[in-house]
Amino acid sequence: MLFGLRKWPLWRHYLVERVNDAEWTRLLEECYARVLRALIGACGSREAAEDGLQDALAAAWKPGIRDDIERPDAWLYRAGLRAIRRSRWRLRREVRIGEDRAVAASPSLDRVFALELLMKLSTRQRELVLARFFLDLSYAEIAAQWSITVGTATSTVSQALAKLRNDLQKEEAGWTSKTV
Amino acid sequence: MDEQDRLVLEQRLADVLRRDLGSLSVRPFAMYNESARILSVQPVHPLQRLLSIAGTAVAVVLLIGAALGAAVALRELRSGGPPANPGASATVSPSPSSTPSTTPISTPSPSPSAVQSPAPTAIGFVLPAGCSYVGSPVVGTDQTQWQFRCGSAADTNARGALAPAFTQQGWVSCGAGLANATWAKGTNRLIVSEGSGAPGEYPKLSQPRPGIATACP
Repeated sequence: MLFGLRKWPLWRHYLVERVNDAEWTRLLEECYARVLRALIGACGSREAAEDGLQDALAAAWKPGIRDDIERPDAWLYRAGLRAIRRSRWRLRREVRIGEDRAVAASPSLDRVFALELLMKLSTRQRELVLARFFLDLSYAEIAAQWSITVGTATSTVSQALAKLRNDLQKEEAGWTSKTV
Repeated sequence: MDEQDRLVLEQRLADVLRRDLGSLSVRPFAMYNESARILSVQPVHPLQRLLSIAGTAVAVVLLIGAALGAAVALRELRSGGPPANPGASATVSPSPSSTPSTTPISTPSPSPSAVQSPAPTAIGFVLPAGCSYVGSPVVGTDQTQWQFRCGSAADTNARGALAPAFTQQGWVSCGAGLANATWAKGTNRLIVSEGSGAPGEYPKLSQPRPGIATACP
């Protein structure tokens, strides 16, 4: 694996990228769809999630970034969440990708059961639940990405599970999921 | 919740998320990636990167130098410069309790050109050691007035506290009136007025403009 070795001194990153552009494009393409879906789940809005992903991708292409990324999907997800929070830039982003939206109309997210479920959680719980159960990050990876302890990550997810317990049991008992 | 319940819930939640979120359609990768690459930095030659780093370092050094220079200049401005009369016992240094930026510092030189503080100072007179100006002077059309203090005991007898300094600096008494005393030196006059004793009220030192000074016997 090319990532996480960090054997090169820092100044080398300013001169040469260890992972070439083609390889980096392939790695990003492999995970972008999962990350976008996770971002949709985290913020409940396709538009905001697309903007967040695009900002995260722009950040991922900056020099010296890619060599320090352990897991591109986790990094993109976290960077996308940060971008979504920067709501003051929302207007600029909407202008930027407005034309793309016109090309392909966004499907509605109104009746997706998973989104209804996630909206019952706090923002942090939602982000960590998606990282754990949708992106399959380990608690250690979550702790590293969010700069929290493993115990905090575990307890946050446990609290989220407790909140969702009844809904999940009803779902299993025969609720019809409302997918698009 | 026991471990078994937790595992079941985790599995169920993962299934729901994969089923519902996994069914959401996404646009092609190129649609996001191409504009993202345009937004990110253009390809930069390694030499340009090095020059950029060097330029940033130079800018930081210049900024630090400018900040240090400004700090030194400000410090000198606030301190009012070095004392002008190191040998005289009447040299007044700003009191720690007074505001340095607003307290006028009188100089022993009779020449106004020797005044270093922007606030006007009493011409030809320096407060004795232990006394200091309070606040900014009040500049009127006919006179300039300062408040000063020499300690709680001396403030009740300002005329007596300043009399030795006046004499030492060549001033001649024009006499004392009701709670004030007038001193003359050439065409300059200084009037010492006792304070009322109320809190925040200090003795005053007034200097009429030379042209409108009264005659001194």
